[in-house]
Amino acid sequence: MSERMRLAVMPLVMGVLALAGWEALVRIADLPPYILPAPSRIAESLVENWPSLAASLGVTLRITFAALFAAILGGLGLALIFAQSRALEASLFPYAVILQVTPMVAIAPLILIYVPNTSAALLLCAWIVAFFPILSNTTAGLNATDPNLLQLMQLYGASRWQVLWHLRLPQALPYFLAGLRIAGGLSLIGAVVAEFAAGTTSAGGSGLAFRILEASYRLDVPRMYAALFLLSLSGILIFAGIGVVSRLLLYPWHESAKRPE
Amino acid sequence: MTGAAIVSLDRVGKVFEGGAAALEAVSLAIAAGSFTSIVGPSGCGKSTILRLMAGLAAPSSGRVVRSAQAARLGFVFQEPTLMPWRRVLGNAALPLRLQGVADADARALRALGQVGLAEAARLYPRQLSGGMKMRVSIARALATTPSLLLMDEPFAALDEITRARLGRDLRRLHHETGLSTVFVTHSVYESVFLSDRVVVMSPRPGRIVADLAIAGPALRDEGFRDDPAYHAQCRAVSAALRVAMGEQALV
Repeated sequence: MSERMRLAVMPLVMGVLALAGWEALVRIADLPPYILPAPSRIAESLVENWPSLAASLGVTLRITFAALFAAILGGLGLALIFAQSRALEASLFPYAVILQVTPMVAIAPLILIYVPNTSAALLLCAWIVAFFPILSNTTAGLNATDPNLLQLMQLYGASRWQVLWHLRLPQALPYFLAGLRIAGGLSLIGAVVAEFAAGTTSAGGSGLAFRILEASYRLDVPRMYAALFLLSLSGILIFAGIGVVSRLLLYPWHESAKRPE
Repeated sequence: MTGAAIVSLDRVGKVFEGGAAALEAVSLAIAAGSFTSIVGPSGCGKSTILRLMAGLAAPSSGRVVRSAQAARLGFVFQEPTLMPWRRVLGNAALPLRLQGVADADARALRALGQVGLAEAARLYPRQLSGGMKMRVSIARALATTPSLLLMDEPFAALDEITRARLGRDLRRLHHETGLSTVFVTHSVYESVFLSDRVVVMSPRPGRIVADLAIAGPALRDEGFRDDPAYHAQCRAVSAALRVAMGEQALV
């Protein structure tokens, strides 16, 4: 077995061992499901509750992807505006930072009050969490121009627009994609946190976070785990999907995108 | 072969922001069709002269006179300065694309042929050796069919063997095209091998301390490096350089 294969298989072996240990612990200690459900019990719950869980997964993913899309537009758009004027960047960037460092759970209740439409409020919360890495990374990438290349463009009479299109944007692409990778996970986290803040009473709250809250009130712990499993799986798939897109875009020329062996 | 000045400096001084004097009363006329090397120690303002000739910087005193032809210029930096996301052809075609030339790719491919890289047109810079990258950089400068080629220590980062081969090819290219070239280097041997004329500069603030005509065949190959005349001229440039460094006692 090659070193690469071994490295790929090891986490899988680890996961299977942990699940087996978990299953054995619950059976041997005879733990009731409302304390700690066995993996097999969680899988059963997932199958039993699939219709409601799948519908909720759809709701959460819709908000997540809408937020990610808005984060790409907003982050990229703001970064492009910042790139046009250092003064504008200097005056606005600190506020983007403030928005980023203030915990979402603390802002969400206010947003839910001010924005009457719950879906729109959830989307706004998720967007606030997700846009910053794209903004800050893309801004860094647009400013990281090789002075020699800039001089070359100047020498051949490139316009401001040509410098942006031919030099600054391609140069910023790896930075943007690194930001996108973080933003993908954050938009899911933002969506879930906002759903928790919205609670079970609101009309729009029927996402996976709502299912977790609902199940906790009924002490249906296996169902809580099942919803949690779907959230993790979504996060992993989003992260992996963005990784694939990054490699496809950067593969021919960038050092970070290694040739698949 | 040589004619009227394509670009000339008339008692040019350059003082950087902060007051450091880079150049002092430099007068230098580059004859059209000539190959001129500027030799001097690090920081003597050699690169500043190129930047003045290119119009990338303005003189603090004196005048830079650029003929109409000098507007069509190619510039080769010390680093290859390629865009990693563009293929070799895309890099060579960049200046033409910026100017909106219709047959940019065809012309860039011709320029790549001139430096022996037509085969590599589809590759990315990361797939090339240091010498090949520098050839792409030269092809990019040639693609616009310039009248004046300015080269700022283009071979400094390359190994000896690659350097010698590129030097030979550059001299052949100059012979074929008659392209006016100004070549900045700190290598005495390189300057003599390549040039019709070597200008020697003093340490900062840079002044011209010697201006030597180099005799040699128009088309030069490795044989020229064994020529006693070549060695004699290298010694003459070295001596001038030592004088420039203030080491007359050693000559």
